[in-house]
Amino acid sequence: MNSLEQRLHIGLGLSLVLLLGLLGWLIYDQNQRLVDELVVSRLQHDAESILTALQFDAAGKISLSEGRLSSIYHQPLSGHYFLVLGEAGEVLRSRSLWDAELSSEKLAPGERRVRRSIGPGEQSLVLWSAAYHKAGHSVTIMVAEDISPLQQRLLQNALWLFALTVIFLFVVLFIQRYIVRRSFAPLWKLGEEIKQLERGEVDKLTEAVPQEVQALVIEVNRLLMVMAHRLDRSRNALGNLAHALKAPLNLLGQLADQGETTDSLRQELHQHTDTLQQLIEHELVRARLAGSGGAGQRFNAAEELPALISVLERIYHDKTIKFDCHYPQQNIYNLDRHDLLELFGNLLDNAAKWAKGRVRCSIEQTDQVHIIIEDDGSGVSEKELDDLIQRGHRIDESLPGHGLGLAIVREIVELYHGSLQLDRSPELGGLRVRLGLSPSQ
Amino acid sequence: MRLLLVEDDPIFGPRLRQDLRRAGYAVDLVDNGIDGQFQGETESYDAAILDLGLPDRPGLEVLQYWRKIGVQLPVLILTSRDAWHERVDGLKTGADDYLGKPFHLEELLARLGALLRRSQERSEPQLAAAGLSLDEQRQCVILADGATVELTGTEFRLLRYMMINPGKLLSKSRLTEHVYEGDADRDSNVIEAYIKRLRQKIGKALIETRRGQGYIFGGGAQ
Repeated sequence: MNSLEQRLHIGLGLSLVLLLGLLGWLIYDQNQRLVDELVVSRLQHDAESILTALQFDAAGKISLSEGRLSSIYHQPLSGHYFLVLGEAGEVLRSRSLWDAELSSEKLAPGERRVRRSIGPGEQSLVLWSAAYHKAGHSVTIMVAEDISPLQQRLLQNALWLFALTVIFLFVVLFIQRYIVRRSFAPLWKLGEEIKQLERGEVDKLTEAVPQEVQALVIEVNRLLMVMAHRLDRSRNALGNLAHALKAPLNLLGQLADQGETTDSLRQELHQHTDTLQQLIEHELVRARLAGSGGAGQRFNAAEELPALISVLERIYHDKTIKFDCHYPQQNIYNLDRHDLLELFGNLLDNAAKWAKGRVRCSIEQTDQVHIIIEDDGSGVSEKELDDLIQRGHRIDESLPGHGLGLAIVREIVELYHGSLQLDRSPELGGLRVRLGLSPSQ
Repeated sequence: MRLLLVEDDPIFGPRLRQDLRRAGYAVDLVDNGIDGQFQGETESYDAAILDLGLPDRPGLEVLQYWRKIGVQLPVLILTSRDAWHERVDGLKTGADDYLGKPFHLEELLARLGALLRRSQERSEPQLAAAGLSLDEQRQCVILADGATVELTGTEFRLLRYMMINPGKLLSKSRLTEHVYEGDADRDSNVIEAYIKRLRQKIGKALIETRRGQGYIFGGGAQ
């Protein structure tokens, strides 16, 4: 059982049942005692009034002056009974007893006794007996009262109490449920936010949460930040390395072009610096790629592609290329912006390089992100294209004009568990590159 | 035309300035972000070449500042940080072009030329005005009769600036600003001397003198 809400319900329910049960039992017990005491004290009074009504004749025979007795003792089976035992064993019984018997015993003078017994008509009786001295005679008086109506009343009260307790229990549990739901609401929201985080729609969690989980949320945010910083740092470090390496390479290249160097040396120098540059470039780009899974990753084609296209228009300022792009306006989540710009930059650059005047691209998001880029150039010959298609998506880095660019594209596609297809564009006639990326995997 | 070159590399910077001078530009070289920002804000340049990894203040911040205060100066970013997202960010910040290092000088000059043409709203690569056309590669002028006349560096810069702004009144100080580097001796008599020499080469009528105001190129001829 892992639901906190259920745990709280059971905990509170059990303690309430225990508490209310104890309370109910105490109240019931106290009421019972109270009733008993009241009944006993009334019986004592009754016994005393019977004692006053007792008369002894000269022979010591006991009689009662009936007029001084309550009429309740005349009514048969009224629930109020008495019995008087004389010294000689004679017995005086109340008329209400009718022909029922009450077990009796003679008590020593001054002795009192209370007991319970079942009387006539299954009545539940409390018997009170005591021995008295009157006019030199010793007499035992026993008075009884039926307490079943009282007991019934007590039971009724107890039932009422029980019913109220049950209702109260449910009301309390319901209120608790409400409170629990309310206090857990921020947690559900947090859960929803974490899902958004996974999808890359947000890049940190809201820290306005209850104190109990705030530490957790702050820690999660801190970790996210640390990871993002680490990625940034390693990317920056690599950028700095590139910066540091490229400048001397650039100088080497320029030195080679100066007058004193011989042609063969110049050629060799250029060859080596070019190789070095390509190596640096390739490894840098590879290391910069992030892949999916970072927090807050999103790519907005509508925001990025126009800027990218104007970069390309400047690079190819000496020819007029019409870029015809279709893309969704909303964010595509779980795609790293840098990766996607690298992908589009390379593909569109290639396309623009070979295009005669038109480049088309489209992005479509279904369960995958589908990207098509095609141009009207003759970037690859039929034979090269056949080679490419036959080899599937394995592209040789040494393919002229498609060296580094497509190799990087392939790396990015692999990072996003995607597919890469090359063929001839049926409409434009140049190279068509089709990609499918699965950012959510 | 006068360029601002902001580049911190002590070897590469002066070398590039030399190359740009040879290509007919007056170049002010600054080796840090703060000075670069100040120069771009206060001096009138025709374009700036900006490195991104600058000491004191990063190039992108400099560019951001210029654009924020409304400096329209055409900016070409020249940097080894040439990942595609960096290029996109550079253009979004307000750069007009972005060139990655290493580069070929011809590529830089072509892109710079395109950038300047865009900022002057010219479309044809060959600069022509008032019957003259300027060969920017060889730094000479072709006259209406087809004769080619060689120009010195300063003459070339002066004529190019006037040909870009034909029919406009150009004061001596404006000509000085766009023809000379910041640390050059700015004596207005020198401009007068160069105008005189230009007139000798391309004909007197093309440059009109407005006494006390400046010069108009090709105004009367058109």
